[in-house]
Amino acid sequence: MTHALAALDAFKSAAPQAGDWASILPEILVAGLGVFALLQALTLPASGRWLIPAVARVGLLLAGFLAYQAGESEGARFGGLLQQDASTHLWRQLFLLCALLTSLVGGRFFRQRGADEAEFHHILLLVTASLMMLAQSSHVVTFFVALETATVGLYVLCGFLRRSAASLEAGVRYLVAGGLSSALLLMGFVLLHGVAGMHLPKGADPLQFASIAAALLGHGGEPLALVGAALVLAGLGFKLGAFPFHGWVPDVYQGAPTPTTALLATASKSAGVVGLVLVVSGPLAPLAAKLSPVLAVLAGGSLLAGNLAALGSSDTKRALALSGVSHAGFLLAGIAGLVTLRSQEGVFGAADIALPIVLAYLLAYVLGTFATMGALAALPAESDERRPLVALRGLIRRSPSLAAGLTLGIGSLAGIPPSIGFFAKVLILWVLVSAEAWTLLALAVVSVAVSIHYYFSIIREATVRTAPDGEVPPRIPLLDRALPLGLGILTVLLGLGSLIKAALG
Amino acid sequence: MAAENQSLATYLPVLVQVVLGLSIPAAILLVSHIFGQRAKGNYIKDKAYECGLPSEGKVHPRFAVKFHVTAMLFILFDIEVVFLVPWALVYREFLAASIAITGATAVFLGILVFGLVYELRRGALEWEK
Amino acid sequence: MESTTLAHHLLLAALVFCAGLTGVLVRRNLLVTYMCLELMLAATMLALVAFSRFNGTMDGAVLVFFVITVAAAEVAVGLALIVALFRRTGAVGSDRLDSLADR
Repeated sequence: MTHALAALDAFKSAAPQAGDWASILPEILVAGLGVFALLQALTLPASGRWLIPAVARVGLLLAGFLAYQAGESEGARFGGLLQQDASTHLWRQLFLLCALLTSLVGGRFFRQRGADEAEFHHILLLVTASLMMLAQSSHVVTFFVALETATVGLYVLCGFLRRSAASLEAGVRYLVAGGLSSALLLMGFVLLHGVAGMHLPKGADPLQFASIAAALLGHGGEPLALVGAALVLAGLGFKLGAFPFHGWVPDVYQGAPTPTTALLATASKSAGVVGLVLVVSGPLAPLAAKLSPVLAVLAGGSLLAGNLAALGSSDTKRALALSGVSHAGFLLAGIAGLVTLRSQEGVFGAADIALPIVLAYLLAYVLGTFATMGALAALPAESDERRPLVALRGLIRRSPSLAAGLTLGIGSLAGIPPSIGFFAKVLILWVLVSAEAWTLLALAVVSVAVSIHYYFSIIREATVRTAPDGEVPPRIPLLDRALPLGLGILTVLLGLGSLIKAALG
Repeated sequence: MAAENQSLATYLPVLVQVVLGLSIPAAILLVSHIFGQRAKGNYIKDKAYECGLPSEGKVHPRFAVKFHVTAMLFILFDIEVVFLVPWALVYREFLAASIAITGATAVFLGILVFGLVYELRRGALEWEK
Repeated sequence: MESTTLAHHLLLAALVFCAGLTGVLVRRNLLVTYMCLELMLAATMLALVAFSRFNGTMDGAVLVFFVITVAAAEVAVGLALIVALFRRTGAVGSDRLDSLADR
């Protein structure tokens, strides 16, 4: 009986405080909106269905405002299940931005193809809310459940065009890759938790990231701990689409509906990055010396594998998918640099800047990807999964605004100055220089040079080559044309802004 | 060590059951194999007996796939018990110790009920259309 | 009489996990692949319960609840996708899926 009472006391101390619920208000809002989308689908007449995406978008903006307002608020929430700091709120805003752009790209796309827009927004919002939870989790349960909720939602979004065999096949392939990755990740965490449970005093929670780190500090060399860490890295590598776990990327990106592809490329990759950052700076922090060479190999492999495979690709979505693998390589290089810098301390705070740099790289990647994918989604195609490069031929005649958006987006992805993508790449290279990771630096520079080739072949098809005459220019709604163009211009403006800021300061 | 031996001893009936269950069929098969006559098998004799008529259809018929939606929804609504049973076991003590745990469960159940209403309204449970 | 130790349980979990992993990598039938994925999750649950029992903590057992739920959600979505794909193409062999390729 005394045992049960002690347990009750433990619960009492861990019970949520009023401030806990307030601190996850953006997540509650987004998830609530997700349920509300279905309620609207049940109650609204057919003439009022335009409200569903509108409400979702306004809600996403509001949640972004709330996350922005949360500013610098820090601390452990829900008795240590969540941990918020300044970067948490930036991650939240990044995920909200991805969701908003996906909603804008996907709304008409799915309506045209006879898919249910309410269910699309429902799943999109739930995925977003769980990714936002992921960004602040500091406990194996919250981490795993948040990541899996998002992943299961993404399976559905991949197979969302139920009449297209390609979409369903992409969904099934993503399912197998995702299921494999979550099983590896979970087994890794289970082993780490086991090691923590063996060495921690009674009463410590061995699923807490901090306690795992405390246990690994003294016992990090045990085989069980090392296998666990390797499995966790492999699981997150799958999610990120990093070498050597990138086999699923081109097929899934090609077959998934284009708005889902954009979401996978941005939000899902960001989830892999934030998960990896949380893991290497939380439970696996004591293993930093062993981690950084592994991360460097993953990064270098992704840079090479992605770019070399993309060279031979004749399909636009596949080429972008493989270029996404090399972007994952860049992000991993940033994280590897972060881990190295942290382990050698005292390089005038370079480690503190490395995380914002990774975030900035992701922002540039998100803007460039949505400009490109938005343009692709707006283009009429016989089938969404066949978008050969030659189909872009003469785009500049057919739709100058889409061609401009596509070109600017690709320019940012390739890292052409003065786009924001250029600065993002330079910043990652700077991290590598500070971390003295010379091999990785050389690989990154070579991969940029190689990537220029296939990025330019896309731009060349869209702008320089001309199509045979007699084609009827397609009618594309204003929003679909304005979005890629606006995002493309934004990449340049942000790049120029950073240039001016760098010149002044 | 004695206590562990004792706890293992309680599993002895299970062991006996397993040994009996394996050995009796094996013995019967062995005895009939040794003493029985060899049957002369041919195509017709080896077929399943269907009242003397030629057999029809496959040995493993496929079930209609239209039931899979119901089955899946069953799994989803079945699994929520995993969270409700622990809650039901402790909620009296928790409320007595004034720890608020009804609100969260109410929200959880509310979402489940909404899901049920949604699937009913969308006709996911009507397999005869 | 030697009783089972944590190492025995972990060895069993590792064997089941590897059986599942091998199945995912080599089997061509999607349903079998899918069952192997579930087998891997089952192995993790076994390891969790074993750690809980031998470390004397309840946390692992609680995580099992969440793993079961996640696995159920994955099964529901996964089966829906596989059935929809089967209806559309009539194939459940992963080597017969060829809508996606570079050509």
